[in-house]
Amino acid sequence: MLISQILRPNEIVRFNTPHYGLAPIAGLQMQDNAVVIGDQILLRCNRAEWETVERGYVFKDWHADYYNANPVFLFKPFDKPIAAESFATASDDLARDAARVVTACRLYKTGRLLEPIYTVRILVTDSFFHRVVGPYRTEYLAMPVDGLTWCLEANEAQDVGLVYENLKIMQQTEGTDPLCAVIDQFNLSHTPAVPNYFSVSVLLTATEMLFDGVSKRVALKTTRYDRALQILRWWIRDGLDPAFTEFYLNQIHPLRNAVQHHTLRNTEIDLAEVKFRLQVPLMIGIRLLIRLYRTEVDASLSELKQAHGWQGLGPKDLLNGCLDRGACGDPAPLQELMKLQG
Amino acid sequence: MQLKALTCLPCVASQAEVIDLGDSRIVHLPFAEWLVLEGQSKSAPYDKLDLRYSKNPPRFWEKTITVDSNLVLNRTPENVRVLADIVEGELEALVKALHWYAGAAPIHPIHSVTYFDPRSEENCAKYSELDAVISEHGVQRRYGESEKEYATQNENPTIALRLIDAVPLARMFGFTRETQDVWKYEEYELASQSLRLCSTPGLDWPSRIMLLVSAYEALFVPVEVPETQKTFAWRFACLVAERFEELSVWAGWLRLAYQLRSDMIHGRPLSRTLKKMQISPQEYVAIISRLGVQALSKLIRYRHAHPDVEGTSDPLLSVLDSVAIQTNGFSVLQSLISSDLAEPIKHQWQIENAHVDIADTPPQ
Repeated sequence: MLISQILRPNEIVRFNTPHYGLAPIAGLQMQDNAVVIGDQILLRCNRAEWETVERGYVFKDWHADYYNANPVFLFKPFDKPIAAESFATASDDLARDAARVVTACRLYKTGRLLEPIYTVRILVTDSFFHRVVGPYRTEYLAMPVDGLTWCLEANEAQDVGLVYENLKIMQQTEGTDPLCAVIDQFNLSHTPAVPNYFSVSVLLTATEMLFDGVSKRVALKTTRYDRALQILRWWIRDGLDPAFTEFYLNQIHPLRNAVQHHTLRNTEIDLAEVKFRLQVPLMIGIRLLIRLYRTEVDASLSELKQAHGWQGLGPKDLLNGCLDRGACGDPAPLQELMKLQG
Repeated sequence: MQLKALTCLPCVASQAEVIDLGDSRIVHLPFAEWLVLEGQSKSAPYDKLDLRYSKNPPRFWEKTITVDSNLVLNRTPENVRVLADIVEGELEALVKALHWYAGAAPIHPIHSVTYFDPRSEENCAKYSELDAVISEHGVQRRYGESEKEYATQNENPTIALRLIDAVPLARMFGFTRETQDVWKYEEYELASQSLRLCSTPGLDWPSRIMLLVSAYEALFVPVEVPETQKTFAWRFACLVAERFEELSVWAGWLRLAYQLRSDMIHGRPLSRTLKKMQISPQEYVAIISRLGVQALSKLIRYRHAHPDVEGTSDPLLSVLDSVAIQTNGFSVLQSLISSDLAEPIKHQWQIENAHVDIADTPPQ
C-alpha cells in the first residue's frame, strides 16, 4: 500500500487511462481539483497520483510536505499507448502547451510561475515511466512552500482561457514571428537565476520591440515610453499608480543610459520594482497585439485605418498609432480598440 | 584539514575516466563511492539506481581544499554554506570554461549537488568519529534545486568531452581563472549571460538572435555610428576571423543576424531575410553562438592584456575599423589582440577531428 493510502485512506489515483503525460506548472495554485484552460486540463494531483509518477525518484523529504506544496499539473491523457519513438515529440508537446498556459497566466496578471521545461515532464504508458528533467527539478514543490506563487481564482479561469486561445491562434498564424519574439523576451525576464539587471535589459529590448520601429506613415509625435505610459493610462484609467507616471516620465531615460553604459549593476535603483514597471505595459500591449493579429479583427478595423491613412500597415503600427493619438489628446482611435478587449 | 569537494557536472559526458585540469580534475565516481557520499550504502531503494547510474555515469569536478576542521566536524547548514563558498569562484570559472570550450552553456552545477568528502587516512586517524558519522549520514553536501537527479543519471548529455579535449579544456580553464576579474565586468557579463541563455531549452531561434545581437551590439557599437549594421558586422567579423580572407564571409553572416533583429524590432515578417540563409535558422544560430564565444574570448584576452586601456583611449575599435582600409590592418589587429598567453586558447570545434557526436561518447 502506498504511504499516502495509509495516511489518507480515501485517496486513490483518479486517472482513467494508463497512458498520460504530466507536467507541473511550478508556482500555480488553485482551489479546484481540475480546471480547463482552453484545450488544456490543469489538475491538482493528490499524493497518490504524485507518488505514482515520481516513485522512481528518491523524494523522501517531500512526501510529508506534499500538501503544503499542493502542486498543479498539466494533465494530458492519451487513448493509446505512447510508443517509445514518440516520447520526444510527446514531451515537446507537453512543454509547448504548458509554456502557453504559463504565458497566458503571466499576461493576465503578475506572479511567479515556472515552465515545466525547467523542472520535469513525465510520460506514463502502461506502467512505464519516461522523465525529462530540467535544472530546477524540484521547484514545483519548493516554490509554493516558499510563497512564490500565482493563484488562479475560480472566476479567472475563463478569462485566462481567452488569453490562452488568442495566444494559440496567434502562434499558429503566419507572419507573427516578431510578436512571438517579444513574448519570448517577456517570458525570459521571468527566468529564475537571471539577475535583475539582465532582466531589465531584456525588458527594455522588449519595450523597444513593442513600442518602437513604427512606420513613418503613422507620423508619431510621441516617444516609445510616452506610448507605454499611455497604454497604462488607457487600460487602468483612474486606478493607475502615480509611480508609473513618475517612472515613465522621469526615470526610464537615465535607466536606459545606465544599461547602455553598463552601469546598471552599480546603481541603487530597486531593479525588482523596475522589472514590474516594465512588465505591466508589455502585458497589456502583447495581449492587445495578439488580438490585432487575428484576421477577422484586422478586417473590422479597416474604417479606423482608412480614417488615418494607415491602410496596409501592420498591427504594431496600428496599436502605436492609436496610442500616439491618445497621448496627444484624441481618444477615438483607442476607443475603437477597446471594443476588442480580450 | 584537507578534503575533496566533488561537484556533479550536469549533462557532461566524457570518454576519459579522469581529465586533469591542473590542480583539479573531472572524474568518474563508482556507484559504491557515490552511495558512501550519500550515506546510503545499505539502502535498497538506492541500490536500484545502480543500473541507471552505471549505464551513463555522471561526471564530477574534484578539487582538494584546505579548511578549518570545525567546518567539517560541526555539521551545520551554515558550515556547508561556508564550504560551498570556498569553491564557488573556481566553479564559476569552470562553468565558463566548459561553455566557451564546447560552445554550449552547461547546466550550472549550483542546481545539482556538491559533496565535501573529508575521508583520508590522516583525517580518520586524527578524528576517530569521522568514519562512523559518514557511514550513517554521508558526507556534508549542498543540494541545488535538482537535488540528486543529475548525480544519478546522465542519459542526455549536452557536453561531450573526447580524449583529445583534455589538454585544450585545461588550457581554457586556466584562461577563465586568470581573466575572472575581466569577465565579471558588466559589459562582458551581459554578453556572457546572453550566450548562456541561448542554451536555455525552449527558447526559439528568433529570441536567440535578439539576445546575441543586442548583447554584441553593446560591445562592438557602444556609441551610435552611421551604418550601424555594417559597423557591427565588420567589427565582429574582424574579431572572429583567423585569416583576412575569411572577413567578408563572416561579415555577411553577421549582417544577416543584424537584419533579422531589425526585422523583429520593426515587426516585419522574417521570411524575406530568411531566404538569404542557406542553412536552417537553428543551425545558423548555433554557428553565430560559437562566433560569439570566439569573439568574447578574444575581447576578454585583449582587455586582460591591456588593463589600463579604457573608454576613449582604447584603440581597439579604430583598429577594427581600419582593417578594411589599411593593407596591413588585419596584421595590426592580430598584434593588438594577441596576448602574453603561452599557447592560444582553442575551442572544441577548432580541434582536429572536430565533429563531436554525443552518441560517440560510449556509455561505460
